[in-house]
Amino acid sequence: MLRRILLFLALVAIAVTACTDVPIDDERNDKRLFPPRGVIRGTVTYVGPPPCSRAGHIVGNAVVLVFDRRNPPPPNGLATSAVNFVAVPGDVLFSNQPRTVADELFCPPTTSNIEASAPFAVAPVEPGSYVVAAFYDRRGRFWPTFKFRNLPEAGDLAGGYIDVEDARRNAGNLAYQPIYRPVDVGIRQPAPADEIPDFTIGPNGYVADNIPVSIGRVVPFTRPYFHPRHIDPVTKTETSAEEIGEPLRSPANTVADPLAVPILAMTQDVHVLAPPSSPTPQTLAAYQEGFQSLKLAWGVAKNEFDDATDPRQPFGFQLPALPPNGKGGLLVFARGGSIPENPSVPELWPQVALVKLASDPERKTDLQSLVVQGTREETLVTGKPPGPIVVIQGITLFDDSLARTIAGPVPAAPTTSALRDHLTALIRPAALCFDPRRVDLGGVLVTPHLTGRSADGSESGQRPLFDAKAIAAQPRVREVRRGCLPTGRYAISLVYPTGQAWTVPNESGGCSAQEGSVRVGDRVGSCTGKPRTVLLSQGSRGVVEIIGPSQEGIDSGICDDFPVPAECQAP
Amino acid sequence: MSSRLRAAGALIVLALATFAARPALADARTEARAHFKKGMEAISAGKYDDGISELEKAYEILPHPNVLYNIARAHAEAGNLDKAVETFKKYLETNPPDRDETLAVLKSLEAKIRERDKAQPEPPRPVPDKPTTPEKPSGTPTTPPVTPPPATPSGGPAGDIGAARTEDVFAESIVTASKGAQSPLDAPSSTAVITEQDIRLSGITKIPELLRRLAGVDIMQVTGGQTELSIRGFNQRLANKTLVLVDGRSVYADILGATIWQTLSIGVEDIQRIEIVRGPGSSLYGADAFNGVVNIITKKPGEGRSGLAGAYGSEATTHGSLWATGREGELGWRMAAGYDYLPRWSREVPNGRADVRTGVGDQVESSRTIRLDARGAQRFGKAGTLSFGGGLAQGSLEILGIGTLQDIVLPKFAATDVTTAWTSEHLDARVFWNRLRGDSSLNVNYVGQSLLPSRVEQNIVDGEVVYKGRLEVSADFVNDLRIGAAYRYKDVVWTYLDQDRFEHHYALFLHDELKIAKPISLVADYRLDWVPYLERFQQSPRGAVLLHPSKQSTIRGSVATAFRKPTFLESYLRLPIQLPVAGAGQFSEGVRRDDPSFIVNAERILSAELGYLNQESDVFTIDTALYFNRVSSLIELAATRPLTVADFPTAGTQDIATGLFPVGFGGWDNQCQAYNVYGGEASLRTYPTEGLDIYGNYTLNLVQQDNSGCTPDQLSRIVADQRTSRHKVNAGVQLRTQAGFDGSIDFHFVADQFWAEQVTNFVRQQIEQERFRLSEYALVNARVGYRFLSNQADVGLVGFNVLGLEHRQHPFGQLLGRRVMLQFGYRF
Repeated sequence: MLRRILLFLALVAIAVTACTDVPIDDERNDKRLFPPRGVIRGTVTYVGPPPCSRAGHIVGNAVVLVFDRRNPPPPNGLATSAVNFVAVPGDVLFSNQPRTVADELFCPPTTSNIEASAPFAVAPVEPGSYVVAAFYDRRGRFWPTFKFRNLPEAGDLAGGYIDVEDARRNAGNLAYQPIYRPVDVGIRQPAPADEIPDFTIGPNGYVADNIPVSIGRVVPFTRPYFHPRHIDPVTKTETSAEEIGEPLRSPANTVADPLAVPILAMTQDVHVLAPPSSPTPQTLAAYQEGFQSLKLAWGVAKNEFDDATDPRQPFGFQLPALPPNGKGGLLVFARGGSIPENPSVPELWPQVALVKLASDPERKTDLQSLVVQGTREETLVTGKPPGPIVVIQGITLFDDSLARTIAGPVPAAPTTSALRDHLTALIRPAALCFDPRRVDLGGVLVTPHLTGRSADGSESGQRPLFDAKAIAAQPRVREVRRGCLPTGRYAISLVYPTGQAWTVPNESGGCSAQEGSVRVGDRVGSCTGKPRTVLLSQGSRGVVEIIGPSQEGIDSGICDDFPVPAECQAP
Repeated sequence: MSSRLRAAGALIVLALATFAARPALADARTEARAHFKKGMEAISAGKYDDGISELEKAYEILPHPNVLYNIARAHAEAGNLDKAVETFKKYLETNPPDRDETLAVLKSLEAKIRERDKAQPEPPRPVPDKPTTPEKPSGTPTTPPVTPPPATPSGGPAGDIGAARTEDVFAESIVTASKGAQSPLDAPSSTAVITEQDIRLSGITKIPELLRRLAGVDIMQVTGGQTELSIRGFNQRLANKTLVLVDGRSVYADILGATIWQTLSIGVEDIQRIEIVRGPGSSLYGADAFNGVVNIITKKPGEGRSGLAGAYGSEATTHGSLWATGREGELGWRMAAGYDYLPRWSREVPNGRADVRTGVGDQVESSRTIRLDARGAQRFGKAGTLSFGGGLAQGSLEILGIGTLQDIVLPKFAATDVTTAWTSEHLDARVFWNRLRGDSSLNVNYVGQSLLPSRVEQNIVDGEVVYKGRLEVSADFVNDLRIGAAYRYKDVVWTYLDQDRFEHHYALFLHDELKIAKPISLVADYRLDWVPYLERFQQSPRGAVLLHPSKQSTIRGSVATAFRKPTFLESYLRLPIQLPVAGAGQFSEGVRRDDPSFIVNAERILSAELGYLNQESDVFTIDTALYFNRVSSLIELAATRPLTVADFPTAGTQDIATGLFPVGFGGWDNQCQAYNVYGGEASLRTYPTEGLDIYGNYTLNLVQQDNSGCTPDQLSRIVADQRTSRHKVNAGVQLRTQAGFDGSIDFHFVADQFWAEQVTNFVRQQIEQERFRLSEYALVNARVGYRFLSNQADVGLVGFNVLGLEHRQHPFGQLLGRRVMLQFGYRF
């Protein structure tokens, strides 16, 4: 008996000693571990007109967009997309709001405002400092995937985690740019006072909680829809994106894809004149003619208008049927400050930016020319790590004339008087190269020439192309360096102070790999695989290509002497 | 690791050396069979006492009514009329089908006793110390037997007491390979059996773990509660290629295509044996018997003894079972209840995380189950038997699935079944209703990301009728025919599906065995299944030739096909999956909004097999097989189809419930690659001495991936898959000693594997295959136990992975370590 008891006790002892805790397994390879990350959580509050509804549902979403504070969206930064976003559906935000059950869209009168709020959370977020922008997409047009539907339109309500008092003070300012408050995710690391610090996240993650996001400012105008054209200064012939001509090979289009022949090819060593010391209409005209230029016409090509605005089509461009006052829909107005070349030339809205695209010379992976260099997606095109963000800034002219731009009067606000059916932008042969991770530190301004002949023939010798003081006042310029421009294709963007922007090429202008190839028609194009309309004026011809130096000029070897700086070169 | 492997080998050798020389008991069935054979031979030779003694030993080891009958008959022939009457009465207590005939014999014997008693006065009755006849298995108290006076054989004709039951009642028998009882020697497929003794001695409480010892069977513990089973390869999380039956009732979860073992209402104590058929089984069982069938045969109502069993051990692992069985006349019944708690092997997230939330608070529990099961069987004389009953299992479970469902929890599930069946000589019919209800969510996700909560209810009503006919022209020319029809209704309501879905499945099948000469049999099967999702009939033929070089050996050649139909998840899924960009989603869909006419085809397998089974010897059995499988059209997650502008009018609708914007579409697709599998299995089981049972087997599995059907684009997304280990070895020892000690040691070795798992590349926004190496692993499980109180009670210590060799059995699986449990049991 004793033997049995001892045996039993031994078994119990062994069993008890076998008891241990269930461990954490941090070596699994299925990425199921959910490494510590950040969360931005708060409440989005809407103050504005009652929402529209259809079929028993509130139409639209409160879209909360999170941007890296080191690279906020235009016009203050270069971010082409948010690092994360969340949509709070109208049904959630306006859960108690009456709605129509009819299939037709019903929008109640906008004479009175209502207030509604709902919680939101955005996760996962890497450690860092962020700005949170937001808008209410009143017509339900927002779509994150496509450039032509991913930003607010007229009638939407904008906001974010902003300085509400400042916004209230600027309630009547149509060009108001809100002051975004930072949202820090993680534990702040030491950094110089004027820099945005690094952040780290501890083992338990980090929640930036109770972030109040306000939406209440009605977006007063549409996005700056345009289609690009180039007028040759010598022959005066006009090249447009929608006119698909003969195949033409170029370094960025080695397969001579006729859909990728740029409307403007510019040598990377192009000479411009220095601004005249004594501006006169003649000298300014000469100065203006030293630049290559683009004509950015409002909307889409004439024969594409119906398709672009047809609600049955996916595009749904917000283009009024008739341009107000017959002047089109592009708002050209004063931005404050001056261009870096000459303090007497004011900067205007909309901002013109040429943004370098990922290199796809064989036209294999980015058929629509959508992928911007310096973004994560660039890797998918090139198979290499992202390169620098390269931007060539244009000079927006008022009524096509530098002289008119100086002489004015330039509208001070985006009012009806500012509407134009097109604008002319001068292409400055200088590029800003940014580290995509540290856009806040500014970029290297690279230009093949720092000096040039004056536009005033009476002034002799080489004169500086840029005004030193004006350059110093440019917050985005960290350093000016002589060098050739990065070659390749550059998309064209127009940006308003509200952050509304329009970029060509965009998805409406070409076919994705899944949709097949573009079939060029008489009026519009179409896709061969999945039939749909293609707006060729928004297509992949609508780019500026920077090509090698002219082989004939005295500067044919300039890029050997002043190569493209490392900061501007893709890996 | 190699030192630990050596230690495992040493353990086995030590066990052999320690116990081989000791008096012990052999494998129960084999030993009972040997005693039975000896006893019948002795009786035939007129050595009644020896014969009866051997039969009584056989009965003691494995009670069988036929043995009782033969004991009674031998007593009668020997002239021990009183003992004969007593034993015949015991035989009648088992409610045999020949009750009336036996009663007649009994009356006749009682009449003879009366005549004898009239002829000579009854001598005084001595009171024996103990019964000389064995107890009946149910443990019913028996009347003290009477020791009759020495008597001469009655010399009555044998016809008066019926014919001896000479059939080999202890021969291994299986019912799954041909939907009817037969010897494995006659089965058209490769088969194996896990016996009640295997189960008891192993101490294993997880049903699928019981099968790990078999050749050709792949067992994979993924979490504490999730064990996946496949046969001859192609195992996976939510394994869906092996049909699991409980007493012929499919427990396949049509929603997922997997067997969720926790939904079974039985525990290991309720199992009489488990039959495994390796190779395609669609020709008899229809869809989903893709690479094999596992049939769990439970103890029959009214048989065996009541009892309780329990176990407790590492990390509070708990197992408990309680069962009662009885018989009232023609009605047998059995009721069982149980409880299981299985902890996870490892936690997914630590406590205190601010950035995540979990589907269940307890990140330790993997599974907790309560089981109730009640079955009955009413015999209607020779007409047949009506079986009926039901079961309930409810609890919680953690499952590692695939895609975004790679880690889900069911905090609450309930599975029920109601089953009724009629079995008779010529007609079998069965109807059952399986219901599974549960709530599920992801185990963990970041705050602000959806846990994808869902509610599911699956109702299955399944009916089958089989006609059995036998044409016996001569002993050498016999034809067995089975013709059946089946119907299966499936109704699924699930948050993850596009809408409530139901399906009606119909099938006709035929099985014919033709014995054309003593050593040659031909088997042909054919089944036609209507699969509503595919909107077509699926055909599943099988053919086999069996050659018997000797009475107890078979050479088997067979060719078979099978298919697996798309599950409800694969057919009708609609699940918006939140991407790391919180507002964007990939919409995973079975019915594609961007391509509504698309359907996923059934998975297919074509198999050819050559097998050899030898049961000639009383001390060993050899079972070998060589096979070739061609596997094609396996279903996998589809490559992401980005939302295009053209899709926008038809497919570009924001999900109202979640607010997610579709940026791409997923779902399911058939693999472009096919697989040629060349494999073999060799098993040896031997019983060298009483009480010692040794087995060993080796499995070879060579996979040749055929990518010829893939486009360059598809080739860019796939990698070579070698998820089934090329080499697998199992070996083990079972021991039972007369001193009461018993136990087992099982050794398993699985060579390294290379899993092609689908992962999401969030940068490319697409599903890609990635190759994961899974290191080889060895596993040693062991149990030592002690029986006492006349074998009514036992205690034991059970160890899983006793060498503590930490390993994973799936690249994403939890890290398995050592677990130990203390067991006890008591039979009333």
